[in-house]
Amino acid sequence: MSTTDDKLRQHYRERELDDAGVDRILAAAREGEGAAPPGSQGAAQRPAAAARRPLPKLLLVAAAVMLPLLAGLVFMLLPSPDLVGPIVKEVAYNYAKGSPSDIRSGRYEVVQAGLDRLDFSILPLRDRVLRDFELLGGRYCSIQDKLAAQLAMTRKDTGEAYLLYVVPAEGELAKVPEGSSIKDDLRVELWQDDGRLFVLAGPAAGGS
Amino acid sequence: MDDRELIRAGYRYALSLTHQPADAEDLVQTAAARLFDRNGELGPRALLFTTIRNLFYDTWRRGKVVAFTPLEEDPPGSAGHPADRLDLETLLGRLRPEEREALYLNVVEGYTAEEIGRLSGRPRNTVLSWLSRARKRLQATADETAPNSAKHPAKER
Repeated sequence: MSTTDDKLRQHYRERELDDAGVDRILAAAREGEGAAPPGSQGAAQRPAAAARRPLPKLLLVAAAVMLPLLAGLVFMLLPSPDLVGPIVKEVAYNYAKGSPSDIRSGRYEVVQAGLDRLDFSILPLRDRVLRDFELLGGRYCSIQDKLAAQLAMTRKDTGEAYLLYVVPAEGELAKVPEGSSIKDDLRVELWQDDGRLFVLAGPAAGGS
Repeated sequence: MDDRELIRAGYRYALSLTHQPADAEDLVQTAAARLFDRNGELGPRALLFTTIRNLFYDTWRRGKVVAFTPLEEDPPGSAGHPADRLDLETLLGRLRPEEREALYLNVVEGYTAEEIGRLSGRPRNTVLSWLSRARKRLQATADETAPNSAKHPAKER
């Protein structure tokens, strides 16, 4: 047995996920359709376990004919899916995880330059954000499977930690309405500006 | 193996792929959500590992990952002093994901090259090549920065 192997085993042993992390993952994973994570297909497109049982051929043919028609009908009749809930859950999950910034700087242009795969500006236009919050840094993340920026900030008057997410408001994200939502102890505020969706998350008691 | 143990095992494996704890957590959560939705359960372990692997490489290929620090460069804060370069964390960060993955599965999980090949869809010889390269790179860098230390040739299964 080589020393390298021993060190490697020890390396991974020391990086075990703690109980809180396991709970967090299981809770988020079991939350169902609302917790559709980046990269997933979305609950509406996921086949239920029962639906995968073998079906008679005739039924399959009928389903093949009817499904596109039904899908078209549903598409016409229903409003676009409400993404606020899934976005709030994604943001709450990321907030609880507390991932560190990869680019640490208090200047938007430095963070923007560091996150060079982003083809949109991360600079918020709202005076309140620029005035009341201090930028600490940023990292890549994703919102609803779209490449996004996660900016770490502190509220200047209270020192409380906030996260600001910026993602291009394209496709369904362009339809996300402005507003705020409370999830557990987190207040999540959403707004659109200049073709981008902004999501600000911070303590519910913080009154952002 | 219950769900908690599966999540822990999945996380360790995801960490071998991403080399970033936060990204490993994301990966396991996404895989777990997918398996719960599709099958109503998390296991078996092999399916969890395959789901994690597919998600990682899909995302990686799309360039949406994670691997923020280029693999051939030192992570921020570790450049410079040789002592820092002895750190296994840094050395592992220099390996390609498939090399790190193969090494993890072989050394920590006890998979044979054959089994790793089945999981990754690659021939056994390719896996052996990954393992050999990974061990050589780890050992060479360690020896380079610690010239007086004894050499321990890596053993392959």
